[in-house]
Amino acid sequence: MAPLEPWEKVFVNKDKYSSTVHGQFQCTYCHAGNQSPDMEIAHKDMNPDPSTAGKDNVCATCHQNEEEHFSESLHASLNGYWEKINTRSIPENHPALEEMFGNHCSTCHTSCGDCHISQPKNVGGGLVDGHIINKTPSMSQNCTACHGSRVGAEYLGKHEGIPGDAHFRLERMNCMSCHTGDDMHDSTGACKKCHNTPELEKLLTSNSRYAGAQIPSCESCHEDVGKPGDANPQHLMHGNKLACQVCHSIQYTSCDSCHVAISQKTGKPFYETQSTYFTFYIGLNPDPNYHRPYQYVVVRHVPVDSESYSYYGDTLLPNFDALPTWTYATPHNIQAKTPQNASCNACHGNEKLFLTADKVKSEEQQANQSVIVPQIPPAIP
Amino acid sequence: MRKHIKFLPLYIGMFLIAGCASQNAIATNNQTATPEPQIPVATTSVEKPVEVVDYCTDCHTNKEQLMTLAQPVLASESESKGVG
Repeated sequence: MAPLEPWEKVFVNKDKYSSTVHGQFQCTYCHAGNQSPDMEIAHKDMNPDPSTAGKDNVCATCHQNEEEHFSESLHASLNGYWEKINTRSIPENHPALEEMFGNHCSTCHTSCGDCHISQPKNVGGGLVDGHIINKTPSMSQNCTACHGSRVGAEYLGKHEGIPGDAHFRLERMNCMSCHTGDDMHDSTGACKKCHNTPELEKLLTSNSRYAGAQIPSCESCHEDVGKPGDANPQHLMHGNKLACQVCHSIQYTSCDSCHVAISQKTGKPFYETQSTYFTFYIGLNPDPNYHRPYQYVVVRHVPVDSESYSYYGDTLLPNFDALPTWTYATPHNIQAKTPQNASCNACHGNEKLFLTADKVKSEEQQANQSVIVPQIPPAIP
Repeated sequence: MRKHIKFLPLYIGMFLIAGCASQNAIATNNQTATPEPQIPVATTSVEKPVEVVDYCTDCHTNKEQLMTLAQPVLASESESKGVG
């Protein structure tokens, strides 16, 4: 993504913007500040992004429904991160971890404007299209501006020798083709069709993006897969034992040991990821459930280790082994034909494909017990 | 003709009475009619809109001015290493 010039970041396209509904308001209506020819006075008490989720979100003045649910979404709350950190930690360590979180993680949270008006702040910000408020975000300047190093690069085929996702290569589908606005604003909206009693609604409070139904699921479009009459016998044979990615994904990025700290030189937060490499491993599904009944899923190594936050204190993650470091993944590099689905024994009996104990670091063995494959499916004679 | 002149005061009297009667009838009708909704009547004199100076857009739509004023954020070299 090409960086925006400083002027470009704050340039309002008068011709385009003033003809829009939002262009009928004076700037100070949303941004506060002052009407003054003096730049300093004009910018005093000005809010560059008045669209952060919460009670002061100016978008909510008209878009109440979107704001109401969006403020609870993982994009706005980042509760997915907290869920993992809390599970590996203990309450006594929370103050130190909250400081860490504020310095290193919270810049990733998303406001309405980060998707619909500007590039996200953590990639330098700046107006995407002359302050036009785009109903549909830009894939490159909004979605993959944050989700770039893994999902974006894999989907667009940016890794040399590894093709991009078939949905992009063949159909030029963008993120919004699958991840609709309704899902982004209210990630539990579709769930409420079935979870329609107070008891069932309680199940919707999980902070994991992999909890509950797959929104979207592959079957949302590929409706006939696995159903009677499916022309592909492999789909019927494997049924719900395999997540779709087990057969249809290819090599993807894994990372090791991200450590965070504050620079003594500049006083600014920084991180260091020890290594990044390509993997394709089939592991056990750590949490088989109604919505994800699979026995096997694809797993990716996430860049956490027990000392990731040690700058902020000793042993801040005493329950490090409570969660796997090889985590259930849904790589965005789907192909119809893959090395592992070329034949039965391209997968069955192929040790290279499976996350067996010998591929897991000794200090992470315990954490990964729920995903390590104890015995691979034998070759078919 | 004379005959008509002779009755002229009578005609005038009848005319005046008839006029009054018709006005009463209208007044009675108005009392019983369902009130019509008030429709605003367009006036011919329209107030000129006050020209509002918007200093924000004056500046933020002026590319040349922004190129002069917008300073690059001097980001210190990031010490981060590896994939974020």
